[in-house]
Amino acid sequence: MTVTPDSPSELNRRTLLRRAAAAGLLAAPAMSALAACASEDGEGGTTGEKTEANPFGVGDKQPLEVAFFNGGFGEDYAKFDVAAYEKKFPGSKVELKFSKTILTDYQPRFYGGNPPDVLNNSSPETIPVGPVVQGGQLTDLTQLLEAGSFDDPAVKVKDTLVAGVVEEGTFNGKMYTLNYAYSIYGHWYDEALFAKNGWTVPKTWEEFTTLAEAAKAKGIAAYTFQGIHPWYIHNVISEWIYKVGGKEAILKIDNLEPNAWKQDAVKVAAERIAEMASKGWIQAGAAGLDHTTTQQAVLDGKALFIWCGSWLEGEMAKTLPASVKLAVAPPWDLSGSDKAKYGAVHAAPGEGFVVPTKAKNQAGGLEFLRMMLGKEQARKFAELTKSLPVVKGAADGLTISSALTSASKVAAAATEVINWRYGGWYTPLQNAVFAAATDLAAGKSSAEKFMDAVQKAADEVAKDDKIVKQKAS
Amino acid sequence: MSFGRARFITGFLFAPILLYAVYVLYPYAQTAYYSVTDFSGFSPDFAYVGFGNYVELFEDEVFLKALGHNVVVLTVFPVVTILLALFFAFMLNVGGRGDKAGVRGVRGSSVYKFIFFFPQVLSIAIVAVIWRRVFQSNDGGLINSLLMAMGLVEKDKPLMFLAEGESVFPPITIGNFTFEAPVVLVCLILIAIWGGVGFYLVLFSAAMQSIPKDIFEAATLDGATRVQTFFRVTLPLLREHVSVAWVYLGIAALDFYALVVGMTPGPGGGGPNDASQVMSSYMMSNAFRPSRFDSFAFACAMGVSIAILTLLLAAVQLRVTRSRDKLEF
Repeated sequence: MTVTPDSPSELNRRTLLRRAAAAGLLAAPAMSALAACASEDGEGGTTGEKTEANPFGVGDKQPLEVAFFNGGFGEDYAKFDVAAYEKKFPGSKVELKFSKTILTDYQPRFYGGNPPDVLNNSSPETIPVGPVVQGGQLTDLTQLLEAGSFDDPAVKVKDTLVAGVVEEGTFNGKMYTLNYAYSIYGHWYDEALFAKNGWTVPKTWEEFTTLAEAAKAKGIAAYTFQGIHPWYIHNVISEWIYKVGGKEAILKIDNLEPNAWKQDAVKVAAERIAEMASKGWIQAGAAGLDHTTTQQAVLDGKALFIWCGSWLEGEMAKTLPASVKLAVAPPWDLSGSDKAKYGAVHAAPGEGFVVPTKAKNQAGGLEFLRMMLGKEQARKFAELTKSLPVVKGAADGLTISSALTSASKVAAAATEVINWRYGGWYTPLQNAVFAAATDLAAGKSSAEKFMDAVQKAADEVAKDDKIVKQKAS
Repeated sequence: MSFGRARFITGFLFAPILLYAVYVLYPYAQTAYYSVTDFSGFSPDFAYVGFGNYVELFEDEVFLKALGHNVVVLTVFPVVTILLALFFAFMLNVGGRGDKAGVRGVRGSSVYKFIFFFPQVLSIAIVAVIWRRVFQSNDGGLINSLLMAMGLVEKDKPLMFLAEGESVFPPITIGNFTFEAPVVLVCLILIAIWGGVGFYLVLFSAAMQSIPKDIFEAATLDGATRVQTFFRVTLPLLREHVSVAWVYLGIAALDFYALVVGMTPGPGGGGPNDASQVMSSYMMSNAFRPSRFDSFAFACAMGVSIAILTLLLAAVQLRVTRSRDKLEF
């Protein structure tokens, strides 16, 4: 008997408590499971013989449990992978599970010590790697990297991957997460609208300002951002900091060096966003709008640019007008002396996969990932999801979508890959950038305020000895 | 014989008590236990750390801010909801025109009752979708488009509503606490009132209908006006119901989780810049979006603090509004 608006929150609290309860109930059987583990051999109970084609020694009769995230990439590629595994090990039965909330569904199983053999640890609810690694619950994937690749045992798995995969999956110096999809990020625009107005994509800030005024004269906002989801605008400012200050500026930030957020690169990047807001180039009210509304504004020709990942076309497919031709541009020069040259593009591996240490069929889990990184599986992933996998050359020659083609082209022409690590490592710091960058783009802040607010958060993270520190290089 | 009855009752009570113990009491105890450890939520290995989590909690800027927001909600939301519900209930049951014999509500009261109660049947997800449209911060929003059509708001300067973190009154700082009412929080309170009035209107209506009509008729014969009838007759007789409503609404005000998460900017809600963060939303964002390895335990400490505050509030409110003498009718 409470007020309606609040009863679902009761539910939420109940869900929370239920999770705790479930975790507690699972604890007792877990003890015996742990005891059982201790008496088995160190290889996690493998029975198969280690050969070139079976480097982890997967037992043919060993069942395998794989859990996939059911999101933008859909279920089809997972089913394809499972079918391939069952073909290779006809005696094993693969239990394939899908979840939209990985954290809620699999946190109790980590706690209980009976996790699945392969887990697609993906958003929006991801199991944070830090605490799980702290508890020794994830398998070091170095053995996978060093194993022979699925197609050619002479070539190691690590040599079939695009740059950055190992670094992105590394925590405390070891690789625990295999990120399978390679996303390209940048500012998306409608090529058709640009062609119609005789506009060209800006390569410098001056060109952008000229374009912005021309668009404003036509009643079009030059820029918009996914307002209430601050993750997007935080990417814009981080990209811009890298663009202006180069890798060394980002390293200072990633490594929590004193006054890293007071560098000139940060100042320039923040000033640019503040300038866009103060000159009225940003879509009115964008700070209060959601991602679909603002992305639609670009599709409808109400705004020119929006920052997003290469999934944009797939996400907006239902409301994408046939006349619109989406394309992506790398960040334009922001000052006369940008350290990263024009063409540097933000690209990063995402969509993580982990193999828990307490997996009953750990060898099978590793073998499943090795197989996913094979040419055939990777190509099918690109076909089915219209996204690039982290396997080199897997999508070569595929022409399935104009946005994917544009993204591949930008990636191929990239002079430098923009990426940073602080967001995944230090949530409170990322949250501070979320809030401060949104304020900037909403026209409620200044570069100085931005730098002060974020530096304060960075100092607090640096001081907090309960946050495990990482080292970027 | 009495032994048989006890066994009979125990038999019936066994299942619910067992369920209650397993799904309510045990998790409560667990939460309290975890709050004094460095439990990560993932690994069954953790250590006892004493009350460190609580000490940190009351030094945590965002938590104190969230607590301040809860206090603002607590002072505004129950009072306004109860006053509106009482007023409407009175008008619908007793407030009809005095030109005819008998006591009745205003014309069309059953229609009003339905309209007022309607928000109650909507799920929170629908409420959030509807009100996000109403408060949308561009010309597609209901309020903004109306104001723009009237020329009160410029098209390129829409009102931000849920994305506005400015306080409607200058913030008041007392020690570590800052009391402020950001626009976004005011919007949420309005929605909560809209959603809550209907339920309490029905509650108070039922209570008013149980008051014998002769009492109202006697008051009318004595020449009492509607206002006098309300304050001298209706309100004192509804004392217990108002008290119960007060406790329910107080608990709801200390919670407020669903509206914050469903409607406000930021990951897990609470934005912009923590302007709409309440204790429960901050707890959830700590429990499952951690960066510290012991953030689950920290969130448990928050949960325990919220529970203690809620219990204290309920006790105080029940005591303050306790009826001294009861009228039998």
